Order: sequence, then structure tokens, then C-alpha cells
Amino acid sequence: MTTVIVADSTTKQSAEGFETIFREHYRFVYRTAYSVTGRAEDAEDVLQSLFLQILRGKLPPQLKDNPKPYLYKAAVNLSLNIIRSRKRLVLTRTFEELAVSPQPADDLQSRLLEAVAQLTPNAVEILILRYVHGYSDAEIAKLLGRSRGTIAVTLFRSRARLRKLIGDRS
Amino acid sequence: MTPKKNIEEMLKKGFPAASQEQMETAGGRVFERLRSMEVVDSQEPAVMPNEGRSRRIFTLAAAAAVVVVSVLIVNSLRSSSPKDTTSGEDVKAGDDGRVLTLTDGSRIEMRAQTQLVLERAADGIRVRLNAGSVIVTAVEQGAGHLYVHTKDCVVSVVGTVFLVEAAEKGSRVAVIHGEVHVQQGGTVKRLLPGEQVATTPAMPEVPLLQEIAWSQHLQTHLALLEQIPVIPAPPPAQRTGRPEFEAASIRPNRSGDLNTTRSVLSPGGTYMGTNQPARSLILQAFGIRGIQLTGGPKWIEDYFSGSYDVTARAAGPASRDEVMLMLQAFLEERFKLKYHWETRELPVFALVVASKGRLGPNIRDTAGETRLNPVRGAAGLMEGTNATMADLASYLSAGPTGLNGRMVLDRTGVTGNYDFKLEWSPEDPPRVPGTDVLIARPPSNAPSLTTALEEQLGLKLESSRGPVQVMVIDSIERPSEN
Repeated sequence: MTTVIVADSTTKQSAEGFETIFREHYRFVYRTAYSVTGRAEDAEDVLQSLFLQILRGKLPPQLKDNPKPYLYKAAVNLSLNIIRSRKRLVLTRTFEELAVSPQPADDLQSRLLEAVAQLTPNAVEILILRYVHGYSDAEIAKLLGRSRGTIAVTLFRSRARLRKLIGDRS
Repeated sequence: MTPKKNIEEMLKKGFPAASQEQMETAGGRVFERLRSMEVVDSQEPAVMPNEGRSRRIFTLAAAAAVVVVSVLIVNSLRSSSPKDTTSGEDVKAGDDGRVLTLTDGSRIEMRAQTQLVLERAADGIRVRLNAGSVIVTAVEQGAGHLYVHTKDCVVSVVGTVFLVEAAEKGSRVAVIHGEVHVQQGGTVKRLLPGEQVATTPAMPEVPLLQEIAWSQHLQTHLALLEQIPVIPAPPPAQRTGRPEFEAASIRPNRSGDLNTTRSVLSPGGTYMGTNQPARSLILQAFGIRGIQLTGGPKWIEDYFSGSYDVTARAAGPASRDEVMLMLQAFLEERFKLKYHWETRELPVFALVVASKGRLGPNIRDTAGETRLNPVRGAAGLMEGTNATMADLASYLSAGPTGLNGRMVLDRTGVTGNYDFKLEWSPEDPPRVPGTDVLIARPPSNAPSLTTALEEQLGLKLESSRGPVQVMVIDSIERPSEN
């Protein structure tokens, strides 16, 4: 195993390296996870799991200088794993969920999250960057290393799919 | 809005948005947890070990964030045989309740018919309480947490003792020891010992002691509650009259069970009196001793027909004196108490130093915290914590000392605060009124009170007479229940 960021948390240099990457990216990761899972505790789970991997040196070495794309994709995937493995999370809207959510959940929001959970991870990554983080097509393309055309097409198809999923349920 | 036509608008506004505060708070928590961890290269075992508890729990739980972890739970005490319970399994208590001991040593005492599910949390263990009540004794969790979820709140703790009740109408959380955080909706409340919170007004506050009366470990919990320190309150705001409780409730207590008789004052300004006869409430409120109170009907000192549970809360932190003033106002309002004061010449004892300049071996400069009752005890045993000689004299006047109710006046001339312990053999141990049942059993080989005072504390009692302020009850009525 190649250690990239932190091999030994007791060394000052490694600890500082970890702190730097954490402080730079934790908001982005948390906001992403929260928007997909809809729950603060799950977002915190994702944040912790992801940075635990980094703490253990599991970040791919080639992404050492630019971890943001990896972190973002990993955050989306972990979030999707959570909501897919725990269907009740966004499908049933338990009392508990209402309690831990800082905002009152509405049916429309839960239908949206339910529909988003059925999209591919690639599609969700792009949707969240656009509608949660406010990125343009060009910015999304640059971050994810894809062409603008691919982004635009994926967005178009995702909206159509969502329209159908939500419309069907309506 | 029609989703089919407005998908773009829905996407712009429909995703849950984390607030800045949420991000900062979560980020801080996660960072602290991660920073405190050791990097482990090997795969951790999936089952929590019995030893090396708190910090290791978190390490394992976090390390296995995407791995299914089984939580080993040993059912003890009320279970017929030990049994392992895995994560996600329903746990139900029968008619006799049930006690679960987690592998980290935390204990979950389940009331009869309680249902819960134990799960792994990212940084510890999660208890989903579906119905009933639990009293959780959580060991120090290191960087991790133990969570209790009900349908409408989340309780997180690090190491403490607390009660959670999940009912149809809502949930109630009460703290016996330590500190818990209760999250309901977007708000988080911090609860300290003696405090409680309900998630709905449909669940009125009830005395904590009543809530935990079913526990096998009641005496332990009561002992913890009695340790609640009274924090100094900030100077009271300018008031035009006597301070009053912000909220107060009263209910008759017909149990007749003297083991539940307690008065607790929490640092947050909450007074909880359980199984308190009206006379006892008056004595506490006005800071007087039994010999100083006269008049009134018989029922005010009857534990079977004149006893009450009182829960009252000040608007904010309050000192003992302030809370007692509020209790006076409460008595005057709810019991319609009317009284006047008289000075009477009565037989008293003077508490003096037996050998000038020297105190006994069982008394020393205080190392304790300020308490609501600096001197406590039962027949044959008395302990003082951060107590003055006046406190000791006051307790001797009223406590189970067998001094026939005579007032004891502090004439020691000794200043300062002390911790002490006194053991003696009372000549006439106090009994439950109207019965031969002893309230407490004294030690068998102890000396008499006067001898014990001199040998253990270096003090003695001298018979005398003196002026005593006496409160005369003119009239008092039974209160209506809330």
C-alpha cells in the first residue's frame, strides 16, 4: 500500500498534511453527502468514512495534488450506498428523520431524493454539482475530467429521467 | 407545483441544503475524532473486544464504517442465560424488564415491555428505542458516542446515566448523572443532572424519581442525584417582589414509601421534591426546623395522605436561597398557606468545642462541593460536605439525632467549611409514623450521640434555653392537582 497523505498520524508533517486537506474539502464533502442523503448524521458518516480512508493513506497516489474530484465522487458514491442500502431513509420519512433534519421535509423533496437514488452515480455527481454547488457545465467538465458535451447530455437525460420518475409517482 | 413541468425549478430548490453551522459543527466533530485516532493498517476484527474499551470502540466503529459490525451484547441479571445479540436485532423486555450489558461495560436497563434495536453508529453504538423506557449507564466513550434514538429525538452521550422514555405521544429524556445532548428537529438541548425534557407538551414534566422508580438500581441512581452540586447563581435581576417559579406542578403521592422521599435541586434551578409532606415542604422553603413550626392540620405531616411530588423550574440558574423563596411563594399560592412568626423561649442545646482549639479526627477542611443539603444522614450516621458549624447545628436540630426536637445553636465560634463524618447509636431510632418500622437501622457498636460528637468531631452539646423564632400556621389547604 502506498501512503499518500498520512502514513503516521504522529508525525507532525503528516498530521499537518491531513489537516490541510480536511479543512480545504470537508464542507464540500459534507454538503454533497447531505444533499444526497438528506440526513445530517449520514452526511457526517460519509465525511468521516471518507477522511478515514485518507488518514489511512487510501487516496489514490495520482490524486495527491488534486484530491477534490476523488473526494467528490467518493462522497456521492458513499451517499448513494447509504440511501440504497437503507431504503427507508428517504422513502418513508420516519419521524426520526424529521427530527434530525434541520428543515421540515416535504413530499416533493422526498420524491426528488428517491428519484435521484435511481440514477447512475455519474448522473448524480453531475446533478449535485450543478444544482447544489452551482457549477457551470464547463466547471463540472473540468472537475470531473469530461467534455462539456458529455455533461450537457448527461444533465438533459437526467432531467428527463427524473421528470418521468417523479411524474410517474405523481 | 407540477413536477413534470418544473423539474428544473425543483432541482434548484429541492435538494436538502446543509447550513453553514451544520457543516462547521460536523466538520469539527469528525476532525477531532480522526485526529485522536491511531492509524491501523490491518483489518480490525468485527466484534468489539471486552477490554480496552472506550477509545477502541470508536476506532473499530469508524474503521469499519462500511463493514457490517456485530455488536456483542450480554444479557445479564434478569435474563436466564447469557446470549449474544447482533446489530439490528430487536430486543424486547418481558414483564420483569431486562438488562443489557454492552461489551464496553455500558448498561441498558429496560423497563417491562420495552422494545429497542441496537445498531452500529459511525462513532459508536446506536440504540433505537421503539417503545418503553430505558435507563442507560454509559461508560466513557472516548471520542465516540452512544446514541439513543426515539421517533422524535436523538440523545447523544459520552459517559453518563440517563433515562429515555418513548411513548405514543412523544419522548422524554432525563439525566441522572453527567451530561447529555438531546436533538429534536433542528435544535439541540443540553441537559444536566436532575433536568429533563419532553418532546411534546402532551407529556408534562414528572418527578424524575417517579420516572426511575422501576429501576433495579434505584438506590444507586438516587445516590447520584444527591451528588448534584449547586452552582453559584449570578446576581438575581432586579425584582419588584419575591421570585417565583417559571413552571411548577404538584401531584399527591400516596405511595407511603419513605425510600422515595427526596428533595433535589438541580444547577439549572429545578426543584424536585418527591413524596414530600406539606410540612416538609414548608420546613425546606423557610429553612426552619421541626421545633420551629407549629399549628396546622394533621394531614400536613402524613406521608400517606398529605404527601406530594413537586416539580418546579426557575426561569434560569438560581441559588438555593432563591429557589427556596420561590418554593415559599409556591406554598402560599397552591396550599393557600397563611402564617405568622413568634419568638418563643425554648429549651435548646448549645454546640460548643469540647477542647478549646482542637477539633476531632473525623472533621477536616472541606474538599467537597457546595450542596443543597451540606449535612446528610440517617439514624446513626451523619456526613457533612462543605458544611459550616451552623449547618451542623441546624442538622442536629432537625435530623434523626434523637435530641427530642430541641434546637441546637452554634456557639462553637469556629468559622470555615468542613467535611466530616459522625457515627453514633441513637437511643430511639426514628420510625415510620404510626408504625414500628425503622426508617433506618443504626450501626450496632457505635457510641451515643454526645460521646460520638466529642470523640469524633471534638464538639459537645450543652443544655440551655434560648429565644427561637417559631412559624405558626394560621391556615393551609390541600392543593388541587395542577
